[in-house]
Amino acid sequence: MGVDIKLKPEDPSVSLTPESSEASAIVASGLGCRYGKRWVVRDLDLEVPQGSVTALLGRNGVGKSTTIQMLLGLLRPSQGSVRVLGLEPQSQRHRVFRELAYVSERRELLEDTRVSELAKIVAEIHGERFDRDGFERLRARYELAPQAKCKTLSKGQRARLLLALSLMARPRVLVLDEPTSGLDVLVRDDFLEAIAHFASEEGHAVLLSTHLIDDVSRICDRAIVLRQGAPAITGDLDDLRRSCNRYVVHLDGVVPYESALDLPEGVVVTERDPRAITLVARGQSEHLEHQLDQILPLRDLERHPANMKEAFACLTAPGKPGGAA
Amino acid sequence: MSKTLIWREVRRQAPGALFLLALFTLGRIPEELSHELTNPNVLALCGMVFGALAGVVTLAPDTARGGTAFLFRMPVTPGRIAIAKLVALATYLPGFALLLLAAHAETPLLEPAVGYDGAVWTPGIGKSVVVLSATGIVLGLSFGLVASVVMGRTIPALLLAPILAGVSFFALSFGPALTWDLEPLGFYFVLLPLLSGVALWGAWLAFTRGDPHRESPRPALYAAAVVAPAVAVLFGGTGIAQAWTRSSIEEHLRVSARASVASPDGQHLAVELYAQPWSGLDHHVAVVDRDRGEQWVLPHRDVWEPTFSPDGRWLLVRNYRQPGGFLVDVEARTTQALPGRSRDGFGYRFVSWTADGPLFVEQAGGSIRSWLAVPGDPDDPLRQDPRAAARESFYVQSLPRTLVAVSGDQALLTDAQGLWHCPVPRRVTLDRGGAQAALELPEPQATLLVSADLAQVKDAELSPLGDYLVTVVDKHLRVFDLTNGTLTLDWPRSPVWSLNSPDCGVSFDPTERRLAAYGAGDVEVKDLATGRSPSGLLAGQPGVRLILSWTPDGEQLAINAFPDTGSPEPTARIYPLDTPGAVLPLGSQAVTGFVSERQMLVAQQPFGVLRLTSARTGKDQ
Repeated sequence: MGVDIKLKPEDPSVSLTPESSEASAIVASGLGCRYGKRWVVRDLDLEVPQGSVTALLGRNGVGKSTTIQMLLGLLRPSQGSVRVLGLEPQSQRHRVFRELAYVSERRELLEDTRVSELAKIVAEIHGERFDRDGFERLRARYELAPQAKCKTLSKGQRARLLLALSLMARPRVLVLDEPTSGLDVLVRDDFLEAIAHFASEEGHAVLLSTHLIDDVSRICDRAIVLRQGAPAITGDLDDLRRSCNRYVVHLDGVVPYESALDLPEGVVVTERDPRAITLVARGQSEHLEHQLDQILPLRDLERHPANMKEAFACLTAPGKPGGAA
Repeated sequence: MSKTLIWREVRRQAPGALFLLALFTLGRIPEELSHELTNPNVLALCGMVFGALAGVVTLAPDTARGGTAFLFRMPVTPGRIAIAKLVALATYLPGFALLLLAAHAETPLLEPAVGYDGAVWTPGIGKSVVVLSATGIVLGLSFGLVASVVMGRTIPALLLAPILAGVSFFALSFGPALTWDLEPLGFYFVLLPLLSGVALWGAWLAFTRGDPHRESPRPALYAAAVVAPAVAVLFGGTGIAQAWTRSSIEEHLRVSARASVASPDGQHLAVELYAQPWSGLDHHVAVVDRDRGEQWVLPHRDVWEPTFSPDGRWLLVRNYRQPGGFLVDVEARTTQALPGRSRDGFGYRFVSWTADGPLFVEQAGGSIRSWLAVPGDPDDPLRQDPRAAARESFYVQSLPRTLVAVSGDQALLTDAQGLWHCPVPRRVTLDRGGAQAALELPEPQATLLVSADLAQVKDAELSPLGDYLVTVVDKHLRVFDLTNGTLTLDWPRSPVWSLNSPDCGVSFDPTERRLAAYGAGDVEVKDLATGRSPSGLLAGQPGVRLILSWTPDGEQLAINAFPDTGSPEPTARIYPLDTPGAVLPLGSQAVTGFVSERQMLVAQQPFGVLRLTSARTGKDQ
């Protein structure tokens, strides 16, 4: 038994296919990656517009890192095409990275070099484009000792160093993979502020892959939600959040904790009490109450707007392969 | 490209490069090392190990910890990154150049191969120096990369990479040899470059596909996956290489003459050869007809110690690793197998030409068997002579004496009283009803040589003329004068475990005035009359096997050193014993024998060819 969740046709900001825009920094069409017979990512269409911070969301193993690798030319797609600022990243990778900076989850550095030496290497590679004075200011602000060897830096220091190096290379696109994980609160705020400033003030594009919904709420304008076995969802952040609702189901009786709930597809349980269950479902279901009444001793149903965290849980719920959300 | 990045790479290689230079500047390169550097096997192995180490130092921190990923996200092409790495590797060039120059000075191996229409030559040595070094380094770099990615840390990778390189090298060397008995050319010039190319491809995959998001053995698996088919190609596709490279000993084997023996009539020369197939050594014997200027190689492998019959018609060669041997008719050029009657575990040990023919003696523990071989019947030459049949299956353990050595018509026997010297027994009575036989000794002729406890006598040897006996007792060489039964020399020497083995032994000069003892890489000579050492310790090269040759007057001793590495390429020196400290270094050649005090037969490159040279200068005559 499934819930026929239908999106409001009049909602233009939420779509299953991205709107086409010439101002997009990254455009991918029909992107897919296969390891053996297993498709990790399939038929993915996305755009990252200039001047925006776009979140790349999804559960573990859904293919976020694989997607980023394909977007940057580090992994050859099994299908589809990618353009970064109009360049084909596979064949023009070094040109792409002249305009794009990437901070990966592992935060790789040249371990045996000192901070100042690494900055010198990056500056020499980028040439005049690299803002050495700006890097020094950021280095001092981030409290990075110039003589410190990279291998002695903490996780947070590595992230700050990479961000400083990336920003001062003056890229037009910034791609960040879990950049704030492991950072303390103050550093994280500073980090997010720098990213937001990069996008809003300088009008550049940011693609941010993260699990921290708070970060998404604070700085992201748009989101691309990858789902296992289902097409990705793309849209403005507020519209995505509004596309989901929270339902508090009051029960006439007690549902044993150990009993399984045969809920319709796309409905996610967020809280569960003996006499009440809190659900999140996407869109406005005309039949949800009727369907729940058939499987639960339903007494009353309350509907509220979902917050971002609940919307994320709902939007990233596994779907049927090829099925509509 | 970033100068700072290049400087960083150079700085990382500096310790290794400086070490290589220090090898020259702080001390003279060991002679045996420079010699070994000309050995193609060693070159390939050294190249691999060097490449592995350099690969780890260059690539390990970057590849395993993400440095490569960092660089690949810079606006620079992978080719330029590779150039930076290669520039860093160039810091080794001065040291390598010096090494090769030293190797070049030691031997002329870098010179072009010399064609020879005779039996043996060594083609392409000069090329092999380059090819093996280069391919070895390429393979080593690949292994270094794999080790780096697998281990993730530099120090463990430094340990693993040479192991990978070494194991692979020996597997590749011995595998085909054990399977098809291929010769070196296929390995050196066809398969190794092929494998190197594939391994390089795997390394490149690992280098460029380094997972930028998480540590993973995947790149290493990529590399290993492409090496595996290469190994399959190596084992499956060597039929082609076999067709290209298989050749007879007369054409392409790497051969070196070890020793030469002239027939009593002087017409024939039997040359003992070391021949190198894919691995290890084969022992061959070539016979040269000096009058006709012809030579032929016995069609048997692993034969050695040629001995001519007193009339010069027959040549006896022994099997190297098993009992038995071959009796060769040097005129008819036919050979006859003399299988050792030793399937129950015995091995014959002594061969001596008696008036009745060659006498074989087997010994194990206290038991002795002997046969008189008679040429003629290829099926069973040991049964043709009725006397041989009568002498078959001697079992002398129950006798009061045990034979320990036989030479010519003389024999050495031990019993509870001591060591006896007596003629070879002539009369035999045989108890056919039982397992025992009786050996009737001419007791009055026996001479008691040593009355001490002989349980410690490990070995005994007679001098060629039969005037002296050498025994090994408790780390002492004891020399007895058989003409008067006195102890001539008591010589403490260690290690001594045998008097006639490739590793250790003694050698009388032809006049029997001097005795040389060799073992553990050195040689010492004693004057039997005075007990003094005329020239002190000679040679002094560890890890070699020594072959000695004397001038007919016993005044000069030639020492040939064959490396234990399996290479048949020797070095030789001549020591004038009356001039302490004097030595004539001959370099990479072997003195197989002296024709006179002034002339000698030497094996130069190609080592299977004997040349007549001056014993004074070492120059061709």
